[in-house]
Amino acid sequence: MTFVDKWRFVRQNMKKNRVRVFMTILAAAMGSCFLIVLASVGFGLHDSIVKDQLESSVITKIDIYGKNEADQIGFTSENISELQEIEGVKTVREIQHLGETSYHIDGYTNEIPEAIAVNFEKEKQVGLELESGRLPEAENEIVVSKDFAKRLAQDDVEEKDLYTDEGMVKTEYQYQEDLLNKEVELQASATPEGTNEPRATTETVKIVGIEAASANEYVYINTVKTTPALKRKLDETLQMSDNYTKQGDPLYGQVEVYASNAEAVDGILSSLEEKDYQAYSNLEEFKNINILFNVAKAGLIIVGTIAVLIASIGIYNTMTMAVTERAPDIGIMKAIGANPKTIKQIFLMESTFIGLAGALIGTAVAYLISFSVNAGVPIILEQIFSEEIPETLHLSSIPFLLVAISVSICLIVTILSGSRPAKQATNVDVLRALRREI
Amino acid sequence: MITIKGVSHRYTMGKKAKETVVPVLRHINFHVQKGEIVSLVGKSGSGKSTLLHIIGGFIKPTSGEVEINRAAITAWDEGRLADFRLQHIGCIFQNFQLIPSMTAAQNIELPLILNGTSKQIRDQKVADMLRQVELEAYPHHYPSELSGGQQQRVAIARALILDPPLILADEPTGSLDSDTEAELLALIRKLNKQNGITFFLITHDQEVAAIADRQLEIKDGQMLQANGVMPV
Repeated sequence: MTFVDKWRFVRQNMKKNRVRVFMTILAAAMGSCFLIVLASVGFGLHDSIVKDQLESSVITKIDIYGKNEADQIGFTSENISELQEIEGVKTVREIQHLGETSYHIDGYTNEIPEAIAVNFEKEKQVGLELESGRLPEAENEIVVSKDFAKRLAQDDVEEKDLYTDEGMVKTEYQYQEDLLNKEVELQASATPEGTNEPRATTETVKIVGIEAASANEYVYINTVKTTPALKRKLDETLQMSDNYTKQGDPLYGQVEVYASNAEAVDGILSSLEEKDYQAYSNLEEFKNINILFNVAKAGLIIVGTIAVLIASIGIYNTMTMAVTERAPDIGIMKAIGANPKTIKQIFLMESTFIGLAGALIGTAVAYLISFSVNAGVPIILEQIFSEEIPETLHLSSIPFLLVAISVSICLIVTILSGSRPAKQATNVDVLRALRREI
Repeated sequence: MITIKGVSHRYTMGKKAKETVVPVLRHINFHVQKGEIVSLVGKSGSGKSTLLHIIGGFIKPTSGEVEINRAAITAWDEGRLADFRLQHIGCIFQNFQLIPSMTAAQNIELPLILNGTSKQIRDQKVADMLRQVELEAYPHHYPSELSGGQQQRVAIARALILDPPLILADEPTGSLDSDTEAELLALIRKLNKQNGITFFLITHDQEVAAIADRQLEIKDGQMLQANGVMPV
C-alpha cells in the first residue's frame, strides 16, 4: 500500500469525525503553545542577559594585569609582540593613560574623562564605531565618546547647582552644540617621579570623531581617545620619563587581549599562565550564567511538556475511539488481506498528523503571544513603574531550537499515545469484527 | 489447491477453574483440485464455518496441516497470512462485508490499494470488474444504496479483482432471495468455467450445494464419507 493511499485513508477517517479530530488538534496545539510560551520566557531573559553581558563585557576579551617576573611598571612592545603570537589571539590592545586631563570649550569644562592613547587600527578591529566624523590621523586629533558632551559643564555655575541627585550635569548646564570638528583646550597635569612639583601643560586638540552610543543606555561612557604621538608630546612637556623604557619605547599601562572566538579563550588563558601573565576573562562568569539559564530553560520545557502530556490523553482517547468505531472496517480489511503493519501505520499516521498539526498551530500562536508580550508588557511596566524599560530586554524569545524541541516533544508524545490504539487496531479479531462483536 | 491433513480444532470455554473444552473439528482430511467447485454442507454448528476460517487462515487449527496452493500455512504469522490471503484467496461472506463508507467502486478497489497497484491500473481494473459483474451503472453507489444481490456482486468483484486462484464463500446466498440466488450461482459457474477459479463454498442450502462439482458433508465436526456414513 503506497503512502498516498494510506494518507487517503487517514483523510477519509478524519473527515468522518471532524469535530473530534479538531478538538484533539486544539488540545495538542494548546499544549505545544503553552510549552513554547513558557520556555520562551527563559530563552528571552537569557538572551537579554547575554546581550547585556556581551555589551558590558566582551567575552573574548582578556584583561592582562601584569607579569609576575617583570620589575618594570607597564608592558613593553616585546610583551605586546609575545602576546600577539599566542595561538587564537586576534588582537592585542595596548593602552597608555594620559593621566589627569581636563577639556575646555567656550566656557564649558569636562573634568573627569578617561583619556587614553590607543592604536586606532586595533580599535577598529575590536569594534570601535563612530557615530560621526573620522578616526584621528594627525597628532592633535581626538575622538570622544557620545556622553562626553553631557559631562561638559558650564564653568560659571556653582557646583551645588550644577549636578542632579544622580551626580549628572543638569541638562540646562550641559554643552548643547555639536562637538564635531570643534577645537578644545586640553589641560594635562602630572607630578614626575622623584619630584614634588606638579607640572601642567595645555594643548589645543580637535575633535574629529564621536563614538557611537553604548547599546546599554544605563552606562555612561565619558572617554577621550587620542594618538600615541600626542601622549608622547604631553609626557615630554611634563617630563614624565617613567612612562618609557630606557631605550625610549613606550610603556603601556593597560593591555587587553582579544581572542578570535570564545572557544579560544581557555587556550589563551593557559598560555598566559605559562608565560607568567596575570589575566582575567569574563568567560567564566558568562559560562555560569549560561549554565544557570540552561537549567532554568530545561525546567520550563519539562513543565511545558506536562501540558503536552495532558493533551496526549486526548489523542489517546480519540485514537482509541477511532479504533473501536472502525473495528468492523478493520476486520473487513484484514479479511481481504490487509497486513497488520499497514493498519498500524494508518493509525500511527493519523495520530502523527494530529500531533504535527497541533504542534504547528501551537507554534504559530506562540509566536503571536510572544510578539504581543514583547510589544505590550514593556508598555504596561512603563505605565506602572514610570520607568523606561531597556530596549535590550526581551521577555519572550522563540529561537528555532525551541520550536524544534517543542515539535519533537509533541511528535514523540503523540506517536507514543497513538501507538497503543494502533496496536489495538492490529489485534482486532477478524471474525469477531465481521460478526460486529467489537 | 486445498489439502487438509488431519485437522482438528477445539474451543476452550469458561474461566480457568471451570474450563470446558468443546471439540469442533475432528481429524478432517480432504483435497480440492484446482478449478473445482466444491461445496461443504452441514447443519448449523456442524463445524463448517470453523473449517472455512481455518482454510482462510483466520484461525489456527489445534492440530493438523492446511496447504493452499502447496503452501503449508498453519504455522505462519498473521502478517504473512494476510499477504498470502491478499494474493491467493478471495473471500465472500454471507453478510457481504462491504465497508459502508466506501462506494461500490472503492470497495472493489480496496485489494488493489492494499496490493500497491497504481491508480491508473486500478481505475481500469475496477471498471472491467464492474462490467463483469454487471454493475457498471452503480460505481458511485454506497452499499446502503444497493440491493442485496448487487451488494453480493460487489463483494464477488472485490474477491476477484486480484485474480486469486481460490475463492472461499461462506453462505454466499444466505441473505438473498431465490431469484437473486439463481443469478449469483450462475455468475459463480460462469467465473469458474471462464477463469478456472477454484470455489470452496459452505452452505446449508442443497440448491447452492448442487452447483458444485463435488459435495462434502460435515456432521458434528467429522467429515462424512461419500456414502454419507460417519467414518469409524
